[in-house]
Amino acid sequence: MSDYLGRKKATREALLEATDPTAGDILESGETEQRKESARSLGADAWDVMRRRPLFWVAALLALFFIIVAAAPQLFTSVDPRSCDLAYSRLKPSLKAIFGYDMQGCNIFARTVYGARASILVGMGTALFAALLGGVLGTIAGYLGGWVDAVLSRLADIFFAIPLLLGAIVVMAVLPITLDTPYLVVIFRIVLVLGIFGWPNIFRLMRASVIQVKPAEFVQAARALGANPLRLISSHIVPNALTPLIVVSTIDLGTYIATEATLSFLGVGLPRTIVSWGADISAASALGLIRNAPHMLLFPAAALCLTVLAFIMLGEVVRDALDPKLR
Amino acid sequence: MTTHSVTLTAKDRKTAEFEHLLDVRDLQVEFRMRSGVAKAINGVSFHLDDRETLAILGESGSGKSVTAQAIMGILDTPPGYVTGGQVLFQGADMLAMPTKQRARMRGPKISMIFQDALSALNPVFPVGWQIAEMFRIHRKMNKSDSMQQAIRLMERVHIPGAKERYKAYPHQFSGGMRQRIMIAMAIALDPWILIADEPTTALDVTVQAQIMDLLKELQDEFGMGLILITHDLGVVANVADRIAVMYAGRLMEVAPVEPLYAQPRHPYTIGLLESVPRLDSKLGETLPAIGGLPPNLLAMPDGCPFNPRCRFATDQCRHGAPPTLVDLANNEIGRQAACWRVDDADVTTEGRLAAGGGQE
Repeated sequence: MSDYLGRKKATREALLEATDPTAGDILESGETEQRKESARSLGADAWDVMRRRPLFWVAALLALFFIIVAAAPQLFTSVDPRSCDLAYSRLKPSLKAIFGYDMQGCNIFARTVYGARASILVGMGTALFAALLGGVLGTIAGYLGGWVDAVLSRLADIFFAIPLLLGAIVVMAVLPITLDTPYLVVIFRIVLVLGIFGWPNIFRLMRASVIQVKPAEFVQAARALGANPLRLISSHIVPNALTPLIVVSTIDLGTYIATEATLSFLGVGLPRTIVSWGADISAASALGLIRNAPHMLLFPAAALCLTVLAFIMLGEVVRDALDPKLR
Repeated sequence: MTTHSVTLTAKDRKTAEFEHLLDVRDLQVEFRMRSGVAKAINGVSFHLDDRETLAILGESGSGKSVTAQAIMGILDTPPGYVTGGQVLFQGADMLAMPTKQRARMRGPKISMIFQDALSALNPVFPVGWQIAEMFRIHRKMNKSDSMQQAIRLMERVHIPGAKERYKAYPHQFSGGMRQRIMIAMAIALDPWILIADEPTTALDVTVQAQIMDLLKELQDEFGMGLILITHDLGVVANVADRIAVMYAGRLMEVAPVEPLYAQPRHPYTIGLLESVPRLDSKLGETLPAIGGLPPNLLAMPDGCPFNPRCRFATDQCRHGAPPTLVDLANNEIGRQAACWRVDDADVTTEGRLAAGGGQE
């Protein structure tokens, strides 16, 4: 009897215990929700919009995946992309080599994995370089106006008039890369060339954005409360003018990767000693190969397409999230 | 009452060296545009004493805000240019100062609050951070000290839950609360002069009263001279010590509050007071208004700028140089008006009528 009572008491306590913490949890989560609500920035708002969109997750995960592949290709394949055996030349995809072998008998899967590094490095490096150069010059031109603006704008116009790809081909053809140039120097040179023809885009954007923000009342208010010009630019104008730069830089990143591949395809970009998608696509499109060994072209081209797509989609999602008018 | 008062730096109040805290003399501002030169301010002179409240009253486009911007040195150049005059702060001409020296005065010496606090606050930073920035830059405080000061200031301007709201963004506040934040930023460095450019125009009536009370309270506590720019005659009556009435970039009348409301002397002021709705007006009666529009600054009328709208205008008013602001002869000290007919019987009678229906 007492045993029964004791058991009943225990059940009741267990029940209480089971309900009490839940009640506490609900309260607590409600509180944190409120706290989050009270400290919400533009970035947090954008994040809320983005994370509800499947497209963002697809693009972000894809981009992240390619960045990881670029950073640590040895995680994905143990095969050396440069150890080739002519006996395997043009073998079709099989279980042993899921992407098959190319003309020289190199493992295409390994080459595709290792080729990511060059593309990602060039894409990110160029996007960063163009954003920095265009962003800084654009801010200066937009803030100062007058003859500084006129000079910088005309300079940008000159570079803007030359198509990115054409300009890059000319420069790379005039100053060819030799086979023994170190890897990073090669990458750096391509970044430099693409960046020099890519910055006017960012420059114009940043200049317009700064001109738009500059007469805002909060900038004038900051001035009335004693902020010096450097302070005005760094904490009032630039943070409010940066959004378009972030969006367009992300979209441009994809374009730069495609342009690098085009340069390598044309034989003026990365030399054959460097494993890259562009060079592999070029090798795969030799006469007759497309019909006889389409896998040679398919896999590096697909990887290139997916990478470019990932960054362009990411840029679009970020733009949608940051633009309140599209919500 | 002073439980959370902000620690003040003692102002060095040596008032003997200069006549007034702020002395604006013959200020001239013009805007050079493609369509011509607009003379926005034509020889404005007034002064502000320590702890005094001066209201600059006028309709839109009369040059109130431009005057404030010229004093602060935040006029957008081009198109705006200060072409003449002096702005003496404690006897030193701010217009003659090098840009850097002048910039250092903004904040600790003269500070300003704006009409629309939402657009006057940086949207990408939390409000507390923006207040704390004032201490970090000008007082070289570290992060936690400046945060403490900012929270204390937020409490001082009566923001409920200041600590929790330190990290909130401007758009998360109501209009009145935003204006309080703006005020907190403006008084952070304990300025000598606070210029408030239509601080309550964007707010509803109950909040207007709260903000004006707060400004008055802070003025007493911090010991500031206050220049209140407004077009609201009701706001002015309760708060100001003196009033300067502005029209088309000129001062029309300057007077202490009570005498001005008791008997306006300038026809423009008479018109303004007449157009205030009154409790004793009959039902269905049309509210009096000043006919016509303010003059185009690009094509000022000959003579007195108010003459096309003035019912007392004579030939003297329509031609030649406009009347200058002069001390009134047989009247109280500190009253000035710019009108040829200021002492004429019909103008003074109308003035008394406009003020209180003549029953006093």
